[in-house]
Amino acid sequence: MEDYEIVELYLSRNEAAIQQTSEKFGNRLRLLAYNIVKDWQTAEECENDAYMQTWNLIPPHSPKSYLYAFLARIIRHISLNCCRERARLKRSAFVCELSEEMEQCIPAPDNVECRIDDLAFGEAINGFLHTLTKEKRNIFIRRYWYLDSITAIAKRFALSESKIKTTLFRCRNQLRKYLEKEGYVL
Amino acid sequence: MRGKDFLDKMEQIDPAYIEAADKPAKKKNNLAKWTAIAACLSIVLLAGFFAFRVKNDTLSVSFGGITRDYKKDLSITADEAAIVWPWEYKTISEQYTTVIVDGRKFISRGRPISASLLGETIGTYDVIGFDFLTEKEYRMVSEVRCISHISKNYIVAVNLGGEFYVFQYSEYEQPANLGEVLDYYSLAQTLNFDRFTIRDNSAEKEYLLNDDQYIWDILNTCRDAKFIEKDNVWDQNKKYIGFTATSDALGVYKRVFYVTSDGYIETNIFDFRYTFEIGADAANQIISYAAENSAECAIEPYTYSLVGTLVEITDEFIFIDDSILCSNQSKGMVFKIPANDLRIRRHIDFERIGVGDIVMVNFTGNIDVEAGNIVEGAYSLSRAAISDGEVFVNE
Repeated sequence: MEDYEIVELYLSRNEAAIQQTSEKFGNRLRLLAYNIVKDWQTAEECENDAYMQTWNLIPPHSPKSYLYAFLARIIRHISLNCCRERARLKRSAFVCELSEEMEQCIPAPDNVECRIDDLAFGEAINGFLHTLTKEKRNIFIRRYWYLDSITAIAKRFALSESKIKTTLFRCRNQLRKYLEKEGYVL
Repeated sequence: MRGKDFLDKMEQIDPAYIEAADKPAKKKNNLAKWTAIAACLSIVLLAGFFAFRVKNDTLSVSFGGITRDYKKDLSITADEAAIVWPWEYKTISEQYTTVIVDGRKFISRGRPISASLLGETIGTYDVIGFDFLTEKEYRMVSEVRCISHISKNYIVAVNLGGEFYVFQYSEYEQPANLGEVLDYYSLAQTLNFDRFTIRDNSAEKEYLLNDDQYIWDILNTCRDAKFIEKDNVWDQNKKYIGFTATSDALGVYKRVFYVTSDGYIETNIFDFRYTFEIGADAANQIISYAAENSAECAIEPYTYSLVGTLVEITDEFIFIDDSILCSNQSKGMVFKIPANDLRIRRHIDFERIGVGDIVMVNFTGNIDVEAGNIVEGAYSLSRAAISDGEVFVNE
């Protein structure tokens, strides 16, 4: 079934929408969640929660042309929160490390609650990603969106781990400079 | 705003970028598979850590020549951070990585070589280092020497701060046949096949081989074996043996040299994948010989790992207490990690790993119990998380 047809099912409140979503994207979504929580049972719980949220979000949203990205964003959010809430989950250490890496991108990190709204942040981050080559962009997204390990990224792109680390380090620096130059207050 | 918020906000990334990054990446070269093997090795490392005898809720774990009784069902993670070390925190072999000798570019393999393996002097050349943080290039003039038995076109030794290190020619050059490789690198002299693994009913077993001369004799009869470019020779289900390939002269540590029953040899010794078709007869002669002239031994992991609480830091040692892993905490041991090695010290000084942190140390040597549990060959230190209901790392 085409993505827009599945979205139509959601819009018409037809419960077959969830089954169709699960059949078409279930494996990818579960894998994405597992990549973050590193526990299959928890990943399945995240997947089910993601279907529930999707049901609640369509409508008003209508992601006919980007259904997978829409679902992926939901399950990423749920999985990250799951890691934090279940601090005993071993993955939380990794999420903590990634947060530290991300902090290097912030021009002046502070403890003040986030001052930039989602729309402006989206504009900033997408503007920055647009300046990167396709390969660098994909590496950056694999690390900080899909939360892949350095080893997994190196394998995916057939590059050495040191090359991946260097690329990520440069990207973080470039992002910080980009945000400074464009005057974003985070 | 903190890094945690930033990580969350990444969900605002354009869906098209998210989709694009999830598509399979086009493989660039033959290195891909070896990266996968490296990843497998790291899994073996962790699996090997807890792969021993079970006594009720206790697991007997062997590493570095000692055995410890640890709690069962512990889950340990020590994910790597994407650290690019500042110049002053790099070892000299990490700093200076490139040398151009008579127009040929050589890259460091990061491994020292003993003076007894060195050949004649080729000359003195600029060895180049690059600091990614400052984007500054460094140069030092160093002596470059041949390595005994090995063609100077492919591997040379470079003096860095008084010690020689192995440098490998950086470009990908396909050899015409196996004979060229045997000759250029004098593999029969520079590589010993003394340990191999074999898959038996989906479990891997490891063996020690008495004498590898016969194998080299067989390989010498296959000198015309053609180099195979195909990417699909490998099949995990086929029968094979994998020799551990460690060689000071070649600057490689625990790489692999496969012989498959359907007639191929394949290795990652030269960084790029090298595959030759030697024929099923020759391959099976090697496999049979190895099976008949070897004895099963304990599986040796790629490196050993030690996990515990960092309890003290001095100029000489850092002290790690493994009580937290012990089924009987009063039987915890304190291990001493030499702290004068930059590869350890930098994690303390730069990464701010400190007393009270749960850490994992990777090492390649033994634990000298008589000297007070000194861990030999420690080369990395990282924060770890242990989850068993008692310990966890909070955000």
